[in-house]
Amino acid sequence: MSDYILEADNLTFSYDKTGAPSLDGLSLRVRRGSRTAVMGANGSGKSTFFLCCNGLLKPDGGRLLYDGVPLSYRKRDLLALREKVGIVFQDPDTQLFSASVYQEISFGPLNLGLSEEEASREVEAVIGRLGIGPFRHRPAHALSGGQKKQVALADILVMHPELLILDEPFAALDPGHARIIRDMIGKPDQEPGRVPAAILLATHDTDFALEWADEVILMKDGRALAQGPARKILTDRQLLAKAELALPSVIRIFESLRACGILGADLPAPGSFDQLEAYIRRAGGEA
Amino acid sequence: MLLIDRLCYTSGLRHMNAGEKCALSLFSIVLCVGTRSAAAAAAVFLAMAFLCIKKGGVPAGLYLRLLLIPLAFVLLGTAAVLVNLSRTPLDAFALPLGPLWLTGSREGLLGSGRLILTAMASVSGLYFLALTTPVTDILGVLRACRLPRILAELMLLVYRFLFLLLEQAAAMLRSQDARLGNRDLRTSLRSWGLLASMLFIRAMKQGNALYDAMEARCYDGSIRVLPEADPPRLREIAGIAGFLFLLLVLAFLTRKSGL
Repeated sequence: MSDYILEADNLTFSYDKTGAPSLDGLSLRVRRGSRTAVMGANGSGKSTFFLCCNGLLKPDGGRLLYDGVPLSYRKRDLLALREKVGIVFQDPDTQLFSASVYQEISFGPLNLGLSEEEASREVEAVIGRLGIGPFRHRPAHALSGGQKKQVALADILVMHPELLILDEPFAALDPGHARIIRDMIGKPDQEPGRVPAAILLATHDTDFALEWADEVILMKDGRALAQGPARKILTDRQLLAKAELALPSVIRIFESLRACGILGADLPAPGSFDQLEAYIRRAGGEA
Repeated sequence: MLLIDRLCYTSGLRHMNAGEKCALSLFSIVLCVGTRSAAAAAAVFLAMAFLCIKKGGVPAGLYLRLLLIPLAFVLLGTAAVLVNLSRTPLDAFALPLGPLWLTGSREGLLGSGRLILTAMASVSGLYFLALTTPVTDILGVLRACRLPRILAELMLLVYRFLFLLLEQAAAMLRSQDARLGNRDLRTSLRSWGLLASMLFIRAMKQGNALYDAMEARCYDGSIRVLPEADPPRLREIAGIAGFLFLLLVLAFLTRKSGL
């Protein structure tokens, strides 16, 4: 078993093979057991890269390794890869093919070769875990955007992927639904031994990434601008500006409090609002 | 269509076994059309209206309004059967029309009455199914009846896409309205053309994206999903069998009277 569940080496890909490439020499590594945020402006190649990860797109050049083994594009190998790599697509309407929520979720487990009884047990479990019960008998076209997203996530979690990929899971969600999705990503599986070995998540939200991710990959123009620990990357003003991303607001407040002398100059950057609050409370107590 | 879809998902009979509902609907229609018995047709009509309105919870006014649509066609159709153009007046009614008579017979009158009743009873049988059973449930029954796999899969996708495209068309239409795209005939024609072509492109794109997403979940060429059937209940089956038997008896008893 390789330390890195996924490695990309100098990947190139272009949709129309003549115009500007979508991936232009992308190299990155995703460690086993990591939570990695992939960040970058629209059109930086995040979604294209994800489609490459389970063989839906074949890179024009470069190497893509899953668990240390280069991807094979034979049909049998692709199916084996797709059993391990699950993608939750950004727009649930492109993912849901059945009007029935229950049938929709049952598609994956049956494709994995589970018997109908096993599949039904898995589907019921994920419906319970994701709180889909109250609207399970409604047709897909009568669900709200947030509910569709819940079903789209259930579609994939029910297959227990080894590498879970989420393409902008919070896009267009209200805070309530965003919290449901966040909680699920926080503890995607309660059964021991079935937790995804790594999660890859695309987002523009630097505050969320700072709190959730241990690794951050910045992408720009189909290339990885930087990869490293979240605290290091997400506190680097220049780097973020280059990737057209905003400095996390926690860090901005922290820096201005430090500049005013309210917080000590030796404090490490906070990883969340809670931690920043603790700093402030401590500073207030001392005064 | 959207209205019927919503009604069947919220129907009080939604969780009755779909096979039972299909059987009741189908055999009632077959008996109505097969026997042409006015008494049996009336019984079917009343029973279906009762089930839809009382058990299913369809508002009575709405149910009647839905029935009016096919009634218009049925009336137009029977008018042609009822009214003759002939040189001699018949026994029921006759209007002089130059050298001819616009006329009808008593038998024809009775016959068209029976025809209307049979047709409306059949419609009510179909409405019972449409107003209580979602398409995905009917699909389950068809699959159990060994409908070719490819047809079942196509129906599944078509039904989902119908709503996706409808949603997109509605959104595009609204956005065209917001930009005065439909202010007069000229702009309307142009806007409709644009909408149709955009819808086509969107449908192709959406189809490709859906295929990708299905492939990502190990799709291998056949769509397997779990059947989602509510269990059949002995009491309901007995009720349906009893009702169908009653229809046969009714048709047999009234066969001489011409009803």
